[in-house]
Amino acid sequence: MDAYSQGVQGSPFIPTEAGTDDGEPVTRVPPRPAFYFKAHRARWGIIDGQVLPILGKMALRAGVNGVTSSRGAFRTAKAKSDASERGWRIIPLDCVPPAHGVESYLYTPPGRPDVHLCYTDRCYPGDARIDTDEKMWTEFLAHLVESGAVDPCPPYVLARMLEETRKLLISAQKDARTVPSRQADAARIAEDVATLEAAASTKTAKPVRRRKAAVMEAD
Amino acid sequence: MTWQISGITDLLSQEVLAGIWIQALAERSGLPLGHPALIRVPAPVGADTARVPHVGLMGYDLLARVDATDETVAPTVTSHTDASTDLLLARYSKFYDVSDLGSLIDATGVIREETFAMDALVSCNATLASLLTLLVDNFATTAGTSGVDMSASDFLDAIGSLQVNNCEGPYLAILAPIQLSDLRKDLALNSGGAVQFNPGAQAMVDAQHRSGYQGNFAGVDIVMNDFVDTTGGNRRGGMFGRGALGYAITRPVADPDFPQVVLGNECLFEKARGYTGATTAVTSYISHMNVAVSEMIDLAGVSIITDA
Repeated sequence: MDAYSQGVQGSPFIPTEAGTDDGEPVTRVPPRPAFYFKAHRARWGIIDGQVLPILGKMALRAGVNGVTSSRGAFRTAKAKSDASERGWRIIPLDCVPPAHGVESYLYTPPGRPDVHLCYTDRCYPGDARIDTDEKMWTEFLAHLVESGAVDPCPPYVLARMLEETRKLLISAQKDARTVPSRQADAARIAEDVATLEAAASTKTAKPVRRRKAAVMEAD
Repeated sequence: MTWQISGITDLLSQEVLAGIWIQALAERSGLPLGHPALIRVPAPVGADTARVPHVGLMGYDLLARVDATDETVAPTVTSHTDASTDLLLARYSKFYDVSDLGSLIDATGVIREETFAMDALVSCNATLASLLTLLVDNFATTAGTSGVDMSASDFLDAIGSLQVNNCEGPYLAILAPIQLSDLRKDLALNSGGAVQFNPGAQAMVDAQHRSGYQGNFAGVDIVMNDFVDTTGGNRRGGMFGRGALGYAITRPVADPDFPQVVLGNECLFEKARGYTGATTAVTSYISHMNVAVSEMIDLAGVSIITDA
């Protein structure tokens, strides 16, 4: 036995040094609560040349619109019931196109458990803005309609949108004669009118059987 | 919050302090809570639910004509129209720890209980604003076009929709910063100066409406708030009149046995020694608020959805 082997045994130690690089900064997007998407029969818009639902959100935050929490879990029965009474339909978290390869439409960015975004949203280190993958978002919305999670746009809503958009087109075309910056608007709105006309031509409202109203006249 | 342990002590012992401090950037605006379009629902101490009835009176039902020639004919009874909104309150809290060393040798005036008391009140207001802002994308009626910058036309459409829905003014609009920027740009570039924000002295008077207030356009007060939702590449602000949104805050009660005080009738502010552990050289500043917000009458609001 030599002298060295009699020394005390130790474990390897690697000191941690503070560096100048703290790693990639987390995103500066303001806190956003978790949510369910919800769709309303009256909220539709033209997105990427299609008539698609303008979704709303049911925020999962205690104290907001009837949501409560208990021991870290949300209680949403009242909030969902209230939303349903107002004509909203809650979209299940897993209602995403299979091709997109995600299990839920919600995600939280690294280091920010207080930020909840849709999987089509993009945020960046040290930056407060949120961008959207427009193509994925449009595919997501189209999937909601195709899968039946959202009923198709009712004909009366389409007719109303068409009327409003035609009015906008007339106004924009009038302006465009004298204001060059309105020419682009007029072209965009003309495309919207074409989209709505195409959608309306495929949907016709069922005739409603109306009750006769009796009017009593004096002799 | 941990800066008092490593960060600020390092600063105090190793750097020469400038004697001033600046605020980190954040959305800290409140909303004009006294605005007629926002309803504060009374909630007594200890309440966890506040119910607001929606009543169909004061002209909701018109009188029906009864046969003038036959006074024995009785009118038919008019059914009451009513509904209600329940606001379910929840506790919101936060606390900061402050080290003894930091408090002792602070030369900037930051590490004082007055500062944390002010922070508590501002944070309560900002929290309430963030909650109310979540609601403005809840309306079934919308204005604006997905993917297109906000314009004066969208703003006027929202006013028109509220009027069509018989919603009484004055209206309040909550817009995201980019929406306000686009609206201002549209006014400046496309209206030829025909329409204006309130100018000059009036703007100075309007400035008393708390932070976030941006002026009045077409008779509608505008506040800007970055908590306005972003979805699908759009910001989702809104405009509403009285009856659309309500909030409730229960007044907390300070226990005289503890160093607690009620701030602004809505926030319980507390100073505690060693809140996270009695053996630490740390003082905690804690604030609590019991609050609820809710959409009430859907047709009294319009969501304004425009490009982000």
